[in-house]
Amino acid sequence: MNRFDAIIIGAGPAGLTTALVLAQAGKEVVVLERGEYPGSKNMFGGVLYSKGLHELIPHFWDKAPVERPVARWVISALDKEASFSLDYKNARYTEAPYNAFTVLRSKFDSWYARQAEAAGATLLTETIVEDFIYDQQRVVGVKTGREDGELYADVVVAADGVNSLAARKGVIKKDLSPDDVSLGVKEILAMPAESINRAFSLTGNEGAAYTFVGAATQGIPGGGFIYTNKDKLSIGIVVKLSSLSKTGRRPEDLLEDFKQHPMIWPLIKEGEIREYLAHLIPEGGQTSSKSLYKGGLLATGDAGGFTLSTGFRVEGANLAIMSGMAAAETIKRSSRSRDFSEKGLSIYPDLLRQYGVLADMEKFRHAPNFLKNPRLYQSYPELVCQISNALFSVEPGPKKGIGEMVKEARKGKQLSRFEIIKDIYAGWRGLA
Amino acid sequence: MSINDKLLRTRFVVDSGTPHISVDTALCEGCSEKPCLIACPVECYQEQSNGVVFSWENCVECGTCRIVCPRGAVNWNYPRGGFGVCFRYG
Ligand SMILES: Cc1cc2nc3c(=O)[nH]c(=O)nc-3n(C[C@H](O)[C@H](O)[C@H](O)COP(=O)(O)OP(=O)(O)OC[C@H]3O[C@@H](n4cnc5c(N)ncnc54)[C@H](O)[C@@H]3O)c2cc1C
Ligand code: SF4
Ligand code: SF4
Repeated sequence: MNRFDAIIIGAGPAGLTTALVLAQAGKEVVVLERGEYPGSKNMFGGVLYSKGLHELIPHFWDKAPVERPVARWVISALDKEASFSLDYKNARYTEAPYNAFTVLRSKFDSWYARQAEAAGATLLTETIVEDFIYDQQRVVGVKTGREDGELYADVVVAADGVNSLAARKGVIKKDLSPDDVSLGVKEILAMPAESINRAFSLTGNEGAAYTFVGAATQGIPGGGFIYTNKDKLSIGIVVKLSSLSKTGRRPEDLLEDFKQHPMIWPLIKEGEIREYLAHLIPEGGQTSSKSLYKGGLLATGDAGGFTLSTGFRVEGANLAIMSGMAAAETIKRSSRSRDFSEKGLSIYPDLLRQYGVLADMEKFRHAPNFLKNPRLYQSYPELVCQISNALFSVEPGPKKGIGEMVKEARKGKQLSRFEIIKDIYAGWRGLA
Repeated sequence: MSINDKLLRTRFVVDSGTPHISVDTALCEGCSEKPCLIACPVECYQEQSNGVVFSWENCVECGTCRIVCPRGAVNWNYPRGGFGVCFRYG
């Protein structure tokens, strides 16, 4: 049989959520994944926020291959030899309904795919979607790379990730530019659980999420991260592609320098590299909601541009899950009226808003511009580290007042008072 | 550790016949900035005496070169289903 109620392109969190919800509603769905197994092409930082998935699979943490619940969040400004950190720990974060977990995507996506299959969805791996099949401008199926690989359905969901060649053929008119994406490079380091606990001040199965700005990316917009898994570390950097090309610094060298930084090396020195990975993040802010659907086709997850990036912290997997729910709900409603035309699917943006996806992105619509400000990644991290230095170092002569310290730290950075006020305003508008 | 040493730890299912990306290197000659040389995180693009040389074996399919190339010289595709990079951790 090659006819389904819905065809889902891509077995990431967005596609698998759509498939799971539709299968639970009794729909015949097929998920097509180009990789050898779900997750084999996917990487993220990685922290998975529990909300969303918990609504779909209550107490998923009892069954899913999650690594550690995140108990400590540390945000640091890095200078060449110093760091200034905010360290937040919450005991509630290690109890149900946990706030977030560290996750390794290959294991997690495979598990999530099995849940969709158990609900009745069909999964075809090693199957790449090459094009759509149209009937009078409406998408009615897909052509896969397999022999006789034409499949038909009432509706197709492009959940094929950031590059989304499929969604670009079908519905998204504007291609990505270097300004719309960041590149993440990451290493998996194996390290015994006790060593991780010692280095990151953790007990038992508690996890930590460390993010860094400043010297982590040598002033390039973006940041560095370390997440603790059970007996592995995820360490990486994220850099804005448009800035990277201009600086002449290679991403793999930036990552190596970050690892060797005197504040980072002591944390990871026992780690042994097990994998090197790279992946893009869509960061252009909201794509126009018009290009999220057309007759017979919906775009969801990264393919729809649904990520929220506050520079060094990326949310995307949770938005992929929420947007997958919205896509499934859209399809359920359209199948009641048997209308999968562009008009029939036009409730999708509203549902995305109801599920919090577009609402979150609209709220943070000024963030992408604010986050391009180079001062955030160079001058300010240096500034806080230098002020801290003045606060904590004892030197001959009379003690300086805080105003004087700030003034001295600002010297040579071309940071006028006006600029600082302007940046605070932009930050408030972008992130508040 | 060099990128090649690091990539020994990353699993690939090699499709020996068909490269999934091809580069029209004739267009590279007129490209002043050559951002691909810097941005590809696994150094698939190298500058040699006869110009830019592309080799696809290390490619982790990130899509960066597709986006940074200002001249449309990169004909970018995924490998065939089941082939290419295969992350064990992710
Ligand atoms: C460095 C980095 C750090 C991040 N950190 C975090 C984080 O800490 N927390 C967080 O929530 N998010 C994070 N994200 C974002 C998050 O990873 C994504 O938003 C999320 O994975 C999107 O899910 P998706 O299902 O839309 O796409 P993906 O997970 O990319 O899945 C797409 C799937 O489609 C398949 N596919 C693609 N094309 C085809 C085709 N033609 N035919 C068949 N199959 C196809 C792919 O193989 C893949 O399995 C990070 C991302 C990066 C790169
Ligand atoms: S960016 Fe494009 S045109 Fe320029 S050198 Fe690289 S592949 Fe060639
Ligand atoms: S897709 Fe990524 S890894 Fe592959 S050649 Fe292009 S930039 Fe390099």
